[in-house]
Amino acid sequence: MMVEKKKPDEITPQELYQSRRTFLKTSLTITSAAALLAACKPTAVETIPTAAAIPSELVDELGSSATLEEDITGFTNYYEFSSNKLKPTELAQDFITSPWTVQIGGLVENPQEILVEELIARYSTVERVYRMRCVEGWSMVIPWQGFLLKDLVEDVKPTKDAVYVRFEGTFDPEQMPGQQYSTYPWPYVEGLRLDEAMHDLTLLATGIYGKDLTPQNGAPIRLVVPWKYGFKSIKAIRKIDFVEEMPTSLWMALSSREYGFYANVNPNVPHPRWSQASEQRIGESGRRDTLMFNGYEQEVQDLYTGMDLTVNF
Amino acid sequence: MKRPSKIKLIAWVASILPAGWFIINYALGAYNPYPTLFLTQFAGKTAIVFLLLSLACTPLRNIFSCSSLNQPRKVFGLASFYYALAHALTFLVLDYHLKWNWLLPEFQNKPYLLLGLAALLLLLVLALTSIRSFQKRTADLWIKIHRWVYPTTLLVLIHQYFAIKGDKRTAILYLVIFGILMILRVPFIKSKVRIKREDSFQKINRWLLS
Repeated sequence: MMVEKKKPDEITPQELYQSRRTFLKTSLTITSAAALLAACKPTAVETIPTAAAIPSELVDELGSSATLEEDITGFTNYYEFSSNKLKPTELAQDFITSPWTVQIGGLVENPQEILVEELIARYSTVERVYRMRCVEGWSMVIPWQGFLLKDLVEDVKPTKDAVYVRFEGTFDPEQMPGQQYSTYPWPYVEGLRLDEAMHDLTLLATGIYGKDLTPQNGAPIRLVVPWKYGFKSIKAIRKIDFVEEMPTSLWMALSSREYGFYANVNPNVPHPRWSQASEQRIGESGRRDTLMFNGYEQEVQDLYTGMDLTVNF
Repeated sequence: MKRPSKIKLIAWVASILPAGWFIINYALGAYNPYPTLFLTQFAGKTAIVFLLLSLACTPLRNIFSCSSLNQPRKVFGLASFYYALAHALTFLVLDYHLKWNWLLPEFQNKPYLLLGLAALLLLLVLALTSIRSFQKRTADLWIKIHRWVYPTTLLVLIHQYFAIKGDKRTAILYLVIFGILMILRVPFIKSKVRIKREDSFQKINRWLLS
């Protein structure tokens, strides 16, 4: 079957659809604020709820609304910039993400070095609302755009020896203050088994809430594996290699007792530091139960048939 | 009531400042969207700093021969207890809403939480027995009980070491400081580190005591 690829210029230019979204959002905010204003006495101005009061059509399949955009972009774990979750927002704002080449190689028939813009244009865009569960016991619901990692894997054609995919983040201590210290074995490295990489849920994400990824969220391109702890979803990817041996991730290298290769969200495998049985959803008041495979059990359990998940954590 | 000395006033103000700093920043939204996380860490860290400050008083008095430097010991110790209490309550109430079905398994599979709990109970005993009348009535017992502050500090620092993710440098720094403060208590070393009595120090000392 021939698949007709749209040329980039046939797709709505990004600035245009972005400005449409911004217009919609702004007008929605203004209308609801005006409606509230009309209903309130003048003294009650400060009680106007902002975005939280606007019904969001963005919900995950379990009915949870997407986390506020300002929280997704304002509260991030990005040790390349800082271990304080509020600081990357400011520290990363001038991070240069263009031009940006991604090297794809290892055990593949079609190795390539490609500009991220070309990569994005090559594959059809998908929009997915996923839960993101951090190993530290907090979570968000994030509306991503990106493309399926599977599409890329099929393009580069891994050889029969390839069992794992190894991802490497950018190494740029001049721009990333956290990389100026050798406390961590930079650059960031993560890995997936090939069948995990080929799974329909696995994305290479390039945007959130209809906008390009912000630097603190992993611009220009990052991994999203929603049934695994957030640290698996490596940011600012520079290299994707297909390999035979299980890659050692940065966190495994630092403490293999705490961070396993699989890192599947699992409320039954306790972490020595944080609760894995419950989580704080950002924007909610109390904690909630953490779900097996972060709620994607039906979709992914077949990947792990016969495996002892307490050993392969 | 007698007017408190300047050194005590300074110690009181110093122990309230961190709480004020946190409240102002909280009101400004500086810890959004997850203030509980920041409060837990801030209160815990502040408790450790005041515990070490309290342990630093006696060695400093000895080094500078200034009796005033020993006076904030109790104020700093109490401050440490209050911040530790805030730290624990944040975890139990604000974070876990006292849901024991979640909390009990955490205490079962995380030894560092038990260390923290033990340290908090010890600090509670020290705080309760710190009142003057108790000290006067039970001089010998009081000294015995208040020597527990050393193992308590060690428990607190081990608790913090295991609570920190990744970069353990701060936790190690606190352990080193604690070690130095303990070494300065060894009689042989105590006599070596004393510096010459200076008139200017004695002047400051008198002022602080006034």
